[in-house]
Amino acid sequence: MKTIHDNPVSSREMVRMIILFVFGSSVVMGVNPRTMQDAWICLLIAAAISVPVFFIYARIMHLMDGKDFFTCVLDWFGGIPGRIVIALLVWYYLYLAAVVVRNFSEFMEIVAMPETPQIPMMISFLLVSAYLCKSRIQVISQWSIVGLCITVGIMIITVLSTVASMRPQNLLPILEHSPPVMMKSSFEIFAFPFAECVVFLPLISAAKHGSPYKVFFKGLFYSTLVLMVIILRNVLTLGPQLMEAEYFPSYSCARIMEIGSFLSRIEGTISINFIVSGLTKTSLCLYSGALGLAKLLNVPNKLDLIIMPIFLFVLMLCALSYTDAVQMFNFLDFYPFYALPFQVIVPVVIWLVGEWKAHSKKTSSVQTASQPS
Amino acid sequence: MWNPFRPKQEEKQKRIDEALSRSTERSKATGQSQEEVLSPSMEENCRRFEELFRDNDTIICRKIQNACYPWLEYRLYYSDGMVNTSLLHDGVLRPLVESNEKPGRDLAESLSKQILTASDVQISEKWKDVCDGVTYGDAILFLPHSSRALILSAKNFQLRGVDEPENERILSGPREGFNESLLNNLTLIRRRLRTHDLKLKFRTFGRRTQTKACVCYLDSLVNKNILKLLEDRLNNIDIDGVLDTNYLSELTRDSALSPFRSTGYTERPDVVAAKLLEGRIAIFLDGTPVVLTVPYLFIENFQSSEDYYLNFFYTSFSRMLRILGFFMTITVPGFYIAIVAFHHEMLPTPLLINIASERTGVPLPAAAEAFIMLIVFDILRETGVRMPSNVGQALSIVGALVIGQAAVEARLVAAPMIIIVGITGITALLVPRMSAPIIFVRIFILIGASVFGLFGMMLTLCTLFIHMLNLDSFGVSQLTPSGKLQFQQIKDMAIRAPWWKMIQLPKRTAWSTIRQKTPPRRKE
Repeated sequence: MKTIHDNPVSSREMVRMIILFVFGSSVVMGVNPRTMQDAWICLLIAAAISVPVFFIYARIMHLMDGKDFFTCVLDWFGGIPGRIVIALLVWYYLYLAAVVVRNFSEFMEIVAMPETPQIPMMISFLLVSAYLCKSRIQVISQWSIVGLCITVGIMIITVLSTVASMRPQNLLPILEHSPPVMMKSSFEIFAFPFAECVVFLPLISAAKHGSPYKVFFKGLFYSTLVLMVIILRNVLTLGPQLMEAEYFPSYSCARIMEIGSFLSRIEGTISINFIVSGLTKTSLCLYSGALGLAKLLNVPNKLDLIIMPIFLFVLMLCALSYTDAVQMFNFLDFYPFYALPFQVIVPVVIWLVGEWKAHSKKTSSVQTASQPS
Repeated sequence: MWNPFRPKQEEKQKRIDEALSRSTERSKATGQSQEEVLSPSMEENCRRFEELFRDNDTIICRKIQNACYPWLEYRLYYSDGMVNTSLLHDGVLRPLVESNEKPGRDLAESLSKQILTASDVQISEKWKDVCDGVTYGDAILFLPHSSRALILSAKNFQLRGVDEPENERILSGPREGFNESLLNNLTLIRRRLRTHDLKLKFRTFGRRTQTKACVCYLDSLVNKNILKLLEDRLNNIDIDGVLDTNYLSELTRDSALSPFRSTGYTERPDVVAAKLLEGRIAIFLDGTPVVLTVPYLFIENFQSSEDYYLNFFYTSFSRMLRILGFFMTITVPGFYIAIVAFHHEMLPTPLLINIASERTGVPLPAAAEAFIMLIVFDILRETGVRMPSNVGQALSIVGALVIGQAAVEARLVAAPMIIIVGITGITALLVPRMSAPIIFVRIFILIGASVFGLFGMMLTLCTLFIHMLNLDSFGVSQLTPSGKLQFQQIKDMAIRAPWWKMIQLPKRTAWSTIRQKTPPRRKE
């Protein structure tokens, strides 16, 4: 019987999920605004930095040869070290989910509902993403098809309707900032949102066909494209100073939007983007985290059971992580340094061990093959 | 292991077991075991039969003696009102009494082959067949010194004619509808699908009702996995009675708690034929005109048989209207509340001022107002469905004047709310198949919107969408076609493609996919 629950996810859907994931919170949080009008250059540099890292991710998937990620990690590292690596990754996934949800609730409180307490918002948002996560990766992939259509559609509408207020001179002067500042900003863009794709390590094996290289690089290409459009729209519409000053530049950009004299102030629509892509991002993080935790606790088939404790744990993290929005935005400065070990160092270690294991396996198989003769 | 729930569960299970064993004992006492056979003595059989059907005065016993051979004595039993007496007279009574041929050694065989002129005669030696027969309008003939009885089909019930179904009226196209007779309904289908490929398998449901049902499909098109799944689920059913196909629908559905349907239902033979042609399976049940079809795709909620009988531009438009109607009827109240209570800035200023001035003096908050008005609308609708037709006018006066105009003038309700409820109610009528989920989904979205504004509405819509993605009907995903998106898979969804474009059958339902080999149309 062909149901979507048995179907492997196609690599095309996986690419869509990656785009939506990268789109995720950056659609509202804005891509790092430190370099103002030069942000698009930083984005390109960040994409260039991401290429080798994505290559490592894809290489890991290639080495695993379609097997489950966490099982392979346990095989490669052995019991205790494997569990430590899994625990590190699970922590990163779950904390990332908490950060995304916190971004969402802060955003809501600042722009729309200053009097509504945040915890109920977090609960409802997390409940929906836990539900999405509980519906399995196949449903998330179907969901992301529609989600991508909605978000990209709305993005195109916002671009078209702000064309009137775009000023090309906002892009000038190009390369105003010094190289160290540019590099730092690029590094920040690399860590958030590109390298967060480390979340996809346990998920890529759901796509049975298609090479992981293609999936990761297509995803990187299209998401760079989308982020580029967002950055250019924000810079051209708002101007560098305003863009740096605003907490949520995309939202302010939509505020300027006007269609005729009738439809104005439709910035609420842009939060649709945030909800759809934020839900995807959170549920992908929860999914990876749940898979890892299930492996850690050795209950691989109890995913449904594990979602609820994870939900509560993430809710707690989410409520405790920052005292207010200012702290949240300040944390963005330190985030790259916090995330680097999980995004780069842990995968690199996994990759090296994997290469070593694959190599030794090959030599041993060559030896066993040559022994009888 | 310590488990606080275990004692309770065990107790519950024990109670269920006890109830089950009691009921089986009772059925043993009153009924008969399935395999029990008739005795060789006619007197014994008749006594047993009358014992089984004691206190049932509709059972009539007729004693018959042959004129030439007086030792040939028969007993005929039938249920009064369910048999055609003239047929019984001409085909059974007269030959039995007047025949002067000496019957052969095997009385039952020679009677059925040489003497009786009734068309359908069965020979049986099982009590089960005898009882099933007499309760379904057959006459039972007990023979002297024989452990076999003849079951003579002489059914004659009062049935409704083949009318157009009340709730599936269409402008053009076939106007026949099913009625309550299983065989008549099957005839309507067989007249449309004249192929040996059409398979019709009978089965019985209900321990007490013994309702006949028929599973019907086209053998070369049906997906065998779906068929097997369906048969497994039907085999598991053990219930006392089945009066309508909805019993089967709820007993076999996939996601048990979803308000959305997972089986299609129709009263139109042309619809059933069309669905069989797409590889679906139909389940007919005796005593109801409603026929189930599985698997059920989500888009079938928006399809109507008329879509295929009229011009495709027109029907594509009306299908899109139906989809839009579904979205409107679930979101309009929530959207209004979100705008009025949370996001005033989205409205143009003059409109905002109008709404605000209408709302001054209204005692309830907008959300509560919407909730109450929606309930009132549903009360009116439900009354309209059930009431006798001659009080319709009173209802419309109450509905339109009292609840509409007077409530606004008395400042109990704001005027925009009446418009919103009106739009909601009218658009709900566009998709009659979705009336059950619409009510719940609408309230759900309304609650989301009144707590978190547009964000809450979006969240609830997302939840709804995830739920719809999760829906399965007999292992087939209801909402989305699996795999790569192709035109042939979506040609009949939001639009109805012209017939010359419908080259393939939907993959989700049909095993083989070629619908037509008509040469493609060229542009002229």
